[in-house]
Amino acid sequence: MQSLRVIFAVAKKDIATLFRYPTWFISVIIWPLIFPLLYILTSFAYAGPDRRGLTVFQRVAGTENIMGYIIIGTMVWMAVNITMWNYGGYLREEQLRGTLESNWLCPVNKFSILLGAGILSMVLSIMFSLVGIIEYRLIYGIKFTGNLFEWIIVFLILFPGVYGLGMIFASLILWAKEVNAAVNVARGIMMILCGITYPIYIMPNWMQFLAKFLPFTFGIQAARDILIMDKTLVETVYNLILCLGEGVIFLVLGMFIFKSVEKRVKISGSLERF
Amino acid sequence: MSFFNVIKARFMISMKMYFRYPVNVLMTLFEPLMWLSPFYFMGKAFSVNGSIEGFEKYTGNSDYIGFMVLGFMVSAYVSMIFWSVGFSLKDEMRQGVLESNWSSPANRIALLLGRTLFQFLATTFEVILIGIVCHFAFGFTVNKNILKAIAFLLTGIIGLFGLGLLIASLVLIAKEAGPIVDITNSTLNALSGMAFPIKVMPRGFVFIALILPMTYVNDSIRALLLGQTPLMPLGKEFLIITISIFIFWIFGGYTFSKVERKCKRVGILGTH
Repeated sequence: MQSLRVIFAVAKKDIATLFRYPTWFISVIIWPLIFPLLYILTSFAYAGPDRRGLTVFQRVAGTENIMGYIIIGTMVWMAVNITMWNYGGYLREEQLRGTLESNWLCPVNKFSILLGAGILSMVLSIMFSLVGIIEYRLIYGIKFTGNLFEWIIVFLILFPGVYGLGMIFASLILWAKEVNAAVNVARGIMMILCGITYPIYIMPNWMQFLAKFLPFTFGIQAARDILIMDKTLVETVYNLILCLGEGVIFLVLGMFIFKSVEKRVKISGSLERF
Repeated sequence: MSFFNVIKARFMISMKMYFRYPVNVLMTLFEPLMWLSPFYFMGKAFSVNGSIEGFEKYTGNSDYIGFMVLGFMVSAYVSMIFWSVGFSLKDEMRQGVLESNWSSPANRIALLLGRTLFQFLATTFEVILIGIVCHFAFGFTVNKNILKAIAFLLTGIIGLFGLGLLIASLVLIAKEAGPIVDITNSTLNALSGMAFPIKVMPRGFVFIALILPMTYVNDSIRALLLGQTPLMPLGKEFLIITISIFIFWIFGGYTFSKVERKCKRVGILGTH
């Protein structure tokens, strides 16, 4: 019960801070629109003025809906990116404000503080994805397949991996005291290996091997299967299970690392240092 | 306090902070791989026998990796200006030192310039590293026109700092840097052809791109270092980039001094 109160208090505080600086709303509207555009226009540049090159990519990607293919990859990447910045950098942000040590001295479960911080990231991720889907439908004319229930399932199976990774990075940042580098490593690995704009079998074998250890590789594939390739949940069950399974492993690993780092920084007394 | 003393002091502070977090330097090795890999592998998915015929029709040759890497290098400078000017204000707001710094009889533009100057050197070091990393990772190479390309680049960067003042003004009003800096920076990079030839965009966007001096910086550098076909003769492009210095500095400087006066009058420098 006390844990729930902590989670609620942290989430309430974060949401109040979010609304205090309304410029985030511009990001929610504009980012989903312009980020995939960078890759879509690049694909048009590769395809040439007559767009003849698109047939080569279509053969490799296995779909004619190239815009949809790129948009789904970048949409999942953006959801992970937001979580990394907000959730992964949460403890560091508290450290910079000078409130981390005082919060840490409260007789509450520290894990609840981190869970509370996750709520804001979740709200933002959902908003980005919803706004994105509406914009892609209305502005880019992408026809999404599947139904609402299937979309929610695809979204939910990504969460354990996203939060597990976020927890690992929140802990490491607490220790290393540097957000940018840690977040860039996490989102960079995903950008390179998970095939956000290309099928992973274009990469060398060793990179394909590494990609299979990331839940997002399977999450993106499942999202493409459901949202643009008109497959059912059963038809993409392999990707769903692997995404969820690996995500749970990340989550457990995140909890373990968080506990270790928490103990370490308390012993060294370095919570307030930055 | 003289203008140059302020710049020197701010330069030193930025340098100390930069070296205080050495992981950032290591990130320089990783970032080009992270941002360029999606373009590189996407290019591979489009290529037939190692060349992309469609891309060649736009640029004059098939060197899409050189095109991307040079765009990425120029964008590193654009980001440097926007982040170091815009974000430094937000950082100081958060650290609680903005009001005290601005209460000193130091020139405000010198306060911003000193920090940017160090970031410029750090970015140059990082751009060299990017070139080396991309050479080994993607086979990136350029020809011998490096000095000419630097002249185009430096002129563009001087103009950009004027635009940075405009961003600083927005941050002072909005009290938030992230979304403002992020979106203006990305939009400017995208529209000026960081990742693709501007001719790919719809006509309205091409018109906007042709107003932006960074379009000509990207274009001229690629023409000089990769032998790609420029949008217009390089002399004309240089003239446009030079004229932009005056426009950006006059407009940016005027807006910044207006906003600064307003912030001081209303007394909102210390709040965020």
